[in-house]
Formats: sequence, C-alpha cells, structure tokens
Amino acid sequence: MSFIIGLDIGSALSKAVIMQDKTLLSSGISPSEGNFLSAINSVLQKALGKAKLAISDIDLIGACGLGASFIPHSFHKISDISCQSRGTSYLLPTIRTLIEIGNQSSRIIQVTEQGKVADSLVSDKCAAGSGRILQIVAKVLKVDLKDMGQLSLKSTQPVKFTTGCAVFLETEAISRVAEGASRENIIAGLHQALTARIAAMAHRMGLKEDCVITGGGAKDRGLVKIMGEKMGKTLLVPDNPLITGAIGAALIVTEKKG
Amino acid sequence: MKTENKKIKKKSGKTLQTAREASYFAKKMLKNALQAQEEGRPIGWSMVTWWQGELIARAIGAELVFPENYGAFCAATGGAEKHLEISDSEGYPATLCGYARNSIGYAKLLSDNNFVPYEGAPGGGLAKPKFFLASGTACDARYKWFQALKRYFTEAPVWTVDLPMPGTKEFFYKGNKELGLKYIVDHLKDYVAFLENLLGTKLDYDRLNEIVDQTFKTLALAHEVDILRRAVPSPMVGSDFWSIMIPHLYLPEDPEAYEFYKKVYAEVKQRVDNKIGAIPNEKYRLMFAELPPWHSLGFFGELAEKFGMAIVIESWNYHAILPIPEEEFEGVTDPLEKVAMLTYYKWTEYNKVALEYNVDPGFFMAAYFQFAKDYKTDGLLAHPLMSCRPATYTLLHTKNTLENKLKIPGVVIDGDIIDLRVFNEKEAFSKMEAFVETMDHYREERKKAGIAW
Repeated sequence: MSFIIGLDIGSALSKAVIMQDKTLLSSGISPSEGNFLSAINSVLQKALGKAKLAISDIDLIGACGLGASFIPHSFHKISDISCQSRGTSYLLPTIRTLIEIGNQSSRIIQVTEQGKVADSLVSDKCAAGSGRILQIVAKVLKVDLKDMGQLSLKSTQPVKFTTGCAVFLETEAISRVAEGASRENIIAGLHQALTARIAAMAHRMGLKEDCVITGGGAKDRGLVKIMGEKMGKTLLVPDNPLITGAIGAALIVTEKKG
Repeated sequence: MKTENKKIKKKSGKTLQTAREASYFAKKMLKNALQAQEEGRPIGWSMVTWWQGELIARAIGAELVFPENYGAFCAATGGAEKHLEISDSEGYPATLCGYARNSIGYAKLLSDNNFVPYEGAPGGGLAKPKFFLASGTACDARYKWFQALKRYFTEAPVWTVDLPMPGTKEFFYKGNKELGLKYIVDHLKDYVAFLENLLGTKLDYDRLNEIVDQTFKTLALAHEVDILRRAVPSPMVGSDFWSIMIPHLYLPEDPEAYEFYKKVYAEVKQRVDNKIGAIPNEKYRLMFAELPPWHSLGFFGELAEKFGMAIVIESWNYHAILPIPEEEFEGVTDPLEKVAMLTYYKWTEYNKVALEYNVDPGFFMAAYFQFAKDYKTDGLLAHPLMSCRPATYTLLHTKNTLENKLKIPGVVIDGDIIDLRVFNEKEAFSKMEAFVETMDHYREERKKAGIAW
C-alpha cells in the first residue's frame, strides 16, 4: 500500500496530510511565518510522527499553495482550486459550492459530484477580500484570532465600515476604537464588510447546495454566521477546514501518478 | 518520485514559419515613416480605424504608424516599461489604456529630444507626426488619447473618424443601414478635405480605388485562413494569429501583405490537408477574448505544452471582415462608399447572430457564439485588461452568457496588454490548470443538452 503526502503551503499556515488508499492517516499544521522551508519541515515532522512513518516510506507527494516551490523533496504541483475542490468533497461528498477564505484570497468553487471543479472565481489579490484582514484587525484590537468569532457573536450593533481597502479599513478600525466602539461591534462590522465582498462573488457564481466554507475564515464562527445569513444558506464547516487543500493534493496526485 | 516543479521555460508559442516572419511588416511601417521624415513626406500617427481612415490617408501619400501596434511591439521587446514610467511621471493615471500610456511616454521622450527618436527606441521609434488620425470606434478612451498627445506635438491636428454603432435590434430598423453608410460617406468627404488642406495635395481617387480593391483582396484571403482554422486539430494557434494579423489590420493595401497571406494560406492548408495540429496532442480548443498580454505570449505556449490547450480563434475585431455579398456592391463606384461599407459591415457583421442569441452589444459579444460552433470550442479564455474599459464591461457578460446558452465555460485571467505588473503568470497558470476540470465537466453538460460538439 502506497503512502501519499498532501501539502498545502500557504502564506499563513502550512498543512500536511498523510493518506493511504484514500484513507486519512494523519495531519499536521504549522504557521508559515515567512519561512516556508522551516514550516514545511515542521509540518512534515508532525504528520509523519503521528503516522509513525519516515519520509523514506513515502511514495508520492502532491502539493499546492504559495510556498510549494520550497518543498525540499520531489513533488507534483497541483492547482490550489482543484485541491480545495477535491479535498472538501472527500470530507463532505454532498457539497456543490465551496467558499474558501484563505489568507491571500477568497475563492468560490462549484464542485461536481466527483469533487471536480465545475466553475470557479477567485477574488482579486486584496487583503480586504481575504482572511488577511481578520489578522490585521485582530492585531489592532489586541485580540487573539481564535477569539474573534465568539466576540462577534456577542455584538449588538455592528459598526459600519465605509471603505473597501484593507489599509483604510485598519485606520477606520483604529478610529472606531478611539470613538469608543466595543471590540464586539467592530469585529462584527468587519465580518459584515468581508461578507459583502465575498457574497458579491458568490452571487455572481451562483450558490448550489450544499454549501461549505473552508480555509482560515471557516474557523471564525462569527464570520460563518454572518456569511450564512447574508447568503441565505446554511454553510457547512468540515471538522478541520484547514486541511482540505492538502487532502485534495494527496488525492489528485494519487489519481495522476498512483 | 519524479519532479514536475521545474522552472517554466519560456517559448514564443508561434508554430507557423510565416508567423515568425510577420514582424517584418511592423518594422517596415516604422522604417518607412522614418524614411519619410528624412525625405520631408507627411507622417500620420493613426489608430486602428478598421480601414476607415487609413486607406484614404495612404492614397493621398501619407506614411502611417500605429501607436497601438507600437505599444504591442514595445511590450513584446521589453521596451514599454520605460515609457510607462514617464507617462506616470507626467501625471497620467496608471489605469489609462496601456497603449496610450506607452505612446505618451514615448512622445515625451521624442519631444524632449528635438523630435529625433531616442537611441535604442524599439524598432527605431515612431517618426514625428504631421497629423493624428483618431477613431472613437470600439473604445471611448480613444477619443481623448490623441488629443492628449497634442501636448507634445502642438502643430499636429487631430482628425477623428466616426462610425455609427447601432444596438442589435436597432441595426435592423428599416433604412438604418443606408443612413449609416450615408453618414460615414459624408464624414469621409470632410476628412478628405481636411487632408487635402493640410497636405496641400489632391486625393487621387483612382489611386484610392486601387488601394481599396487590393485591401478587399487581402482581407478575403485572410478570411480564408480563418476558415481553414476550423479544422480539428487546429492548424495554427493564437500566438500565430497575433503575428500574422499585422499585415491585414495595418497594411492591407500593400501588395506585399497579399503575397504574405498567400504563403500563410499555403502553410496552414498544408497542415489541414495532412491533419497536422499546431500543437502536439490538442485536447482543449479555446477561444481567446480581447487583446493578449503582449509581454507574456510564452504563457500560451506553456498552456499548450502542459494541458494540450490550443487557442483556436481570437477576438473577432482583429480578424478580417466576413465577405460582403457581391450584390451589395451593385452600382457602387465611389471608393469612399466602398471604404464606408468595409468598416460598417465589419462592425455589424455578427448582428444576425446577436439577434439569434439576444445579446447586446452585438459587435463585442455575438461573434463568440458563432465561433463556439464553427471552431468546436471547449472554453473561453477571457482576458479583461486592467486599463481597457470596453474589454472589461462586456467580457464577463459574454462569459456568463456563453455558459448559460451554449454550455461553453469561461475562465477569467486578469492582466494588461502592456503593463506586466498586473499580470500574475503563476496565478494565471494555476487557474488554467483548474479550468481543465471545468471544461471536462461542461463537455458532459453539452452532451446531456444535445449540443453537437
């Protein structure tokens, strides 16, 4: 039986999975922190350790993501969009629309029954339209990223942001803090601003059910709730929405080369 | 384990020998204008007017150069960045048309250098204009571009030729065609008077007749090449077309252009007869919409090599006109009227298709519906240009409508004709890789819907 590694080396997080015969054996996640090579080694160590394997036991590596070219082993590069589609469909086979909110961009992908890409839209390279803005504002508010969702859910009067640019959005968040707006209301307002941009893309593409949300944004419960309300859909969230790309990379490389 | 993560090797993507030879015509135009400057003959800087203004200017003895073609030339040879930076420093916004920005930067350098092209200017540079020939056809920015250039050439007047562009349904109103043609002919008479007054010479109508006849001959042959391209596998690809387009779009009255097209036809026909594809292992047949990223044409070669994608047909407006029925010419002797017919028919030739599919504006959208069938395409590669509004406001609508009505999917790759800073080749490649799955999916959808190819 072959052991396959799937890697998704993103700008914020590096993710690895190990699969055998289309079964997920283990996974690992490490922050990329601007050093892709170190993140790749770390995440491989985590995933291999959990599966009790060594790199020499691996038959194939499939990879996607911004930092994939730093992988120090032979690998097959695969499109991020295809990997997200295949990996998410593996976890939730009924999904037909996938919303991925990553650190670099957001994507809307229509998925076939076979987990392939029926259509896709990718946001402009813009921090205000991706998960990056969540990190920027978390820093302004001195809030841990993982607590933002809970805070957003407590909001009673979300603030209105008037700009579509991350740089000005950060400035506006600082102004709202100075005006005495609560962190809860600022975060919920931020979620609404991000939702408006992604919802516009989603409506262009059309939302076929079941709909799922993945990527770092899916870990933010407040964002998921606001997005679901705005789009009028129940958005499913996989148990681990960060590793879908890595799973897809492993599955596709198996199909192509296995 | 084998590796596929090697660095992408650049290729021109041209597959025809004749395509490799076509840059001769771009260089010829630049050289002739520089020669004219030395000899004191008049030079015009012209937009593509779809032959409406160029043929008359040449018949009266002017040499023409085309800042649009020069923009592509500069981008392809790595000479555009310098001009763009100067345009930026002159205060023009970076969101202006890339061709305009390139020519503004170049014009500033030319004017600062006492109207002598600077050393190392791509292709030897554009010679100083005596006049500007502008056009509002296709693009609103074109109305203002040459007016802006006058800042650097204060003595050169701008003449703008105009073309009625009716909506799809309006085109079929009774008498509309006759009125449109009359409008153009009246307008051309004023244009002739303008040129005669400026250049101090009379238009030789016999010479114009010869030029018009030669133009129709060249365009007819260029259209025959387009028909050959319907073959599967495709005998030539987009990267070939963007080169061979130069003679029919810019120099159709030049007998050398006609001779060149004979060679193109023979080369393409030989491939069709022998079922030789331009790219090995053609798997996906794509239409390309709008102008390409001239600075990164190798991208298309990579798509061919990696995914078997062939660009089998491109943006309708750069192709030769469809043949005009013989009976339309009955009783037409005035060459100005023939010129009017040439341009008017070009811009309305797909209106019947537009009516069939109920799309507007027909001239920018309808051809893709016909192409999809004629060329048996699998997808549309839409390249909205950062700096080109007409390209942007119709492309997404075209993409969506093709998906809905013909189940031909589209992929959007953002970029620019000149400014390579807005074209992310890696991201574009990743999108195209995913688009393979999308095209496979829609092939199945077309089968289910009973669509023939």
